[in-house]
Amino acid sequence: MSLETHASDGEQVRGRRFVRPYALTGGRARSDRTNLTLDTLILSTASGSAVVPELPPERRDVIRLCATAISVAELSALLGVPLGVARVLASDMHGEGYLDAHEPMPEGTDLTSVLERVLDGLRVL
Amino acid sequence: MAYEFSRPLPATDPPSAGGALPSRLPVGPKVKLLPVKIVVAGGFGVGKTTFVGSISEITPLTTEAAVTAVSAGLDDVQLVRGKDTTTVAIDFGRVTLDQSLVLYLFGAPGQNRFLFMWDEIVTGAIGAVVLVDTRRLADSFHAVDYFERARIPFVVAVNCFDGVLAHEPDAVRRALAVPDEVPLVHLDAREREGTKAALIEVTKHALARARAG
Repeated sequence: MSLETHASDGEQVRGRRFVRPYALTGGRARSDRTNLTLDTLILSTASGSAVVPELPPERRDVIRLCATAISVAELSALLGVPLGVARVLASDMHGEGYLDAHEPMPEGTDLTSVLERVLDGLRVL
Repeated sequence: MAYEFSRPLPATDPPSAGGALPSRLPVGPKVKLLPVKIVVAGGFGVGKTTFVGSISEITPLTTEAAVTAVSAGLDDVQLVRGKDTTTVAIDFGRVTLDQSLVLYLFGAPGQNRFLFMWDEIVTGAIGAVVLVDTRRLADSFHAVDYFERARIPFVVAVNCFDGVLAHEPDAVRRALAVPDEVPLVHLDAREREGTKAALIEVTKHALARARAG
């Protein structure tokens, strides 16, 4: 994948890359793997951090942004790419073992106990 | 359209502007984190983002979701020939509730033509807040209808601009045709305490419903 770089006054702007968003996903609007929801929390894994130097720039950014847990929606906003692009990137990288994913209400979750925790958490805010 | 893909990111430190969770959220493969979400709905300009921002630990962020012409064609979008997608902006915020529980507040796009987007935003939500401006009650009808049909527990929150309560609560309830079991609260969307109280109300409402089965 090649990135378009824009020059400013003949000089490359360091740290800024301009790229058509769906070029980052090979034109795909869906991942070939599980599609994560917009509120799924994602977090870099040790293997993700270990391969950072070998990753393309946008994937490096994902690993760095996910050093603390953020949602797919936050990834989209912080990267400045549409939700669909962030979703495909995150889903692919989750499938490759570079990101842990914590999904909302996984199978077997007791809704009542979750709501009780939410209520306790809100009351002490 | 080209996006500025990457602002310079620090090589080692996690991002500080909006990216990092508070340090009390543990980092490690063994901790199971749980995201939950509450949807904030209401007419265009009713104060959804203000409501989210009053309690969010991050400045509300915006994500852009693509909408296809097939979906858009179901509503009142006037499609321009050759333009088969449009985007809709979703504002959201985050509140860390305990060591592993994170609440997201998602603003549902206000215009009627984006109703079809709601399924993705609403799926899995523990509840919803319908923000109401009493000067424009009709703007909230579709939100009330939607959550009733989707069986999502919701509260009606009357945003009292400048502290002025323009209508009696019962009048608002009648005008919106919401049943008595739906809580109705008054707040100033700019103030954290009112926002917090509304979120507590919707969670209590959802809990009562969950316990009732």
